[in-house]
Amino acid sequence: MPKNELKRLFSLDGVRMAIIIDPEGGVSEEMGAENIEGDQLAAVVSFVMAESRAMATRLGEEQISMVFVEFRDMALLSIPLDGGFFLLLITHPTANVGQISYELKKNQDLIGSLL
Amino acid sequence: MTDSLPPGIFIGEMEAPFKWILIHAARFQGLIRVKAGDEEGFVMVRKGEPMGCTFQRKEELLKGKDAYLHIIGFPVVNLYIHRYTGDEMEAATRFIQSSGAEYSPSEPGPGPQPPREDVQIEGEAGKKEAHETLKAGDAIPGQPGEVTVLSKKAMELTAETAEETAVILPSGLDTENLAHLLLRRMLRLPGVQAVSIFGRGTSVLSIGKVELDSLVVLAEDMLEAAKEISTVMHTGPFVHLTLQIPAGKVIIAPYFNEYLCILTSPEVNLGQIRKILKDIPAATDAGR
Repeated sequence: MPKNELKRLFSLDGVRMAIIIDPEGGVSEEMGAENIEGDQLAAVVSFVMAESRAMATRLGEEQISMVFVEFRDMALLSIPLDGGFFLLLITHPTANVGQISYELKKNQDLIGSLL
Repeated sequence: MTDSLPPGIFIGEMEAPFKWILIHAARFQGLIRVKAGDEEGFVMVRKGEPMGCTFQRKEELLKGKDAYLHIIGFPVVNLYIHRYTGDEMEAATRFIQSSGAEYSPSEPGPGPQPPREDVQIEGEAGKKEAHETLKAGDAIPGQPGEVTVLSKKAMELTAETAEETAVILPSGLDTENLAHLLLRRMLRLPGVQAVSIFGRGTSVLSIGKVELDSLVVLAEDMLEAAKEISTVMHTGPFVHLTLQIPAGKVIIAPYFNEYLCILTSPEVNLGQIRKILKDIPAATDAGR
């Protein structure tokens, strides 16, 4: 399991939580934010990714690069991994999203290969 | 009589045919005070429907339907708009009921009314052009605080023609013009291919090289799924959603009571788009 890679992403400034979501919408790995119910969040984010995939398909794409959802008090970045897994980061609203998404994409293949 | 009603939050004033404001008040609840010359009254409105009215016509106090028919008979009136909370709405409803000023939307509609012949606003009614008697201006808001009726002859306005007349809101914003301006401004950005305003699964306004109408249902599904996140953790209000795919990006963001869907190529500068999104005034600024 890619715990070290997840830990590296979790240590980035502004990241509150890092989760790997399995293809069934459950939590495969989780780090941070004890006050957030990972299972429930994973289920909801799976739904967001499924709808995003439907949009991508409609636009003639098979692949999603990233989904970024911003709220006033937090933001979520999610990227697909191999085998139907997703990597989700929850960040503070003031976090450097550019840097985090860069790191996310940089580790995408490595984390995917370790699952 | 309005002294007995809750004051609400004053959100602006304008000159317009009364029916025009109802058409553009589909989500509004509150009180609209109406002044025509020395006479005045009010209409209580819930979601674009009148609920109660009174109008002081010289010595006679008109109530309910009579008052409403009288008000919509004026080609143009001064309107002072007060938004109500739920509690204020309830208090106002009780007052309306107790004073016999109720006007139910289910009552037979009055239909389009011809312009009142006895009304003179200023100048030579029916002869002078609107911009001589009213505050004139262009379609693009230029003078915040003023309301501009753009038609050539306001005295010839009927309720039907009034629906097609642009009126600048008190904040200086005409929501329709604002929408066109915003969409065009976005479309000029490098990489932006199409922009749409949508709500409830339908596209309200759409411009660009790509037809977005068929995408808004999917955009709405994404949006609803994203909003579900708020049910499992504290998020605060939704700000925006960006889907990145190899061919570009789909951005969804609130726009007043609707949403914007922006389709871009990969090289778009997201910072520029976010800057424009942040420039969108709060819905209350435009009286919605």
